[in-house]
Amino acid sequence: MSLTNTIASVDLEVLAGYDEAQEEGEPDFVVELIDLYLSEAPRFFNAIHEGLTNHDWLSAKRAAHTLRGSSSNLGVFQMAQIADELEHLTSNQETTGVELLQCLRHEFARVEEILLAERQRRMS
Amino acid sequence: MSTAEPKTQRILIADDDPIIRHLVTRLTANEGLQPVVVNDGGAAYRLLQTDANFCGAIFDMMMPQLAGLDVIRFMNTEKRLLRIPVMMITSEQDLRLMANSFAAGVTLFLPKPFTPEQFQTTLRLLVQGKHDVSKNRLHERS
Repeated sequence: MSLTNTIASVDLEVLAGYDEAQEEGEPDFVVELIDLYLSEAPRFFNAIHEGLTNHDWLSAKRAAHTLRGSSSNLGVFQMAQIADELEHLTSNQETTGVELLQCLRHEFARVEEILLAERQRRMS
Repeated sequence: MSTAEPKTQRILIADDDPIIRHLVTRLTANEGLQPVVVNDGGAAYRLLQTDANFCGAIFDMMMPQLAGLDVIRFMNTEKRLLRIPVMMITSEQDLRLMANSFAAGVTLFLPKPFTPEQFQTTLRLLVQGKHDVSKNRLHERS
């Protein structure tokens, strides 16, 4: 594992970049993205867990790949980095896969805190 | 004057990631296009069997059931679909994969992560550009 702590958990500037897609009179688009991310990320964790448990490496990698893509696009960079490492493991590294999944869940707790604070700020 | 033309141009979006799908749908609608959204390549394939009324298509490279490239390969076999330019969104960095995608008939590539501005620029190129799409596709067919 080569996890690094130099990458930001969440780059809120990336997220704020989506303000330009905001339509007048519509719900806050960034809040919609935050809500979607917070509800979808645990589904990806479950898919990775299921893949690792059932030795279905392809499904685990696919879920990690999707999580990497959406995380990076929302500026959730540390999650994207861990998902990238998971995606590129080989099939004989399931133990590392389980460890990385734990890292993802741990990191998600931090991300959730940051995103919920941003959500609160935008809604107030 | 034809009255059969829809007021807005329709664009097909296929992505299995609900977050990117939501993002792309919004950014596309903001450009005045009408997004027609499906959540995997298989659904895009089924839709394209009966509907070719799209000014462009946006596919994720990696989707369950049928990947973006597989959908394009199907489009290459249907004359009515050859004119539809395709933007491929991917987080893959593999140059060989990109080269294969262009060879298969992908019109434009957009790597993830992308900014709204990058997406909009690429989208405008896709739907307003003078791509010789069918020439590329016919080349792939031959």
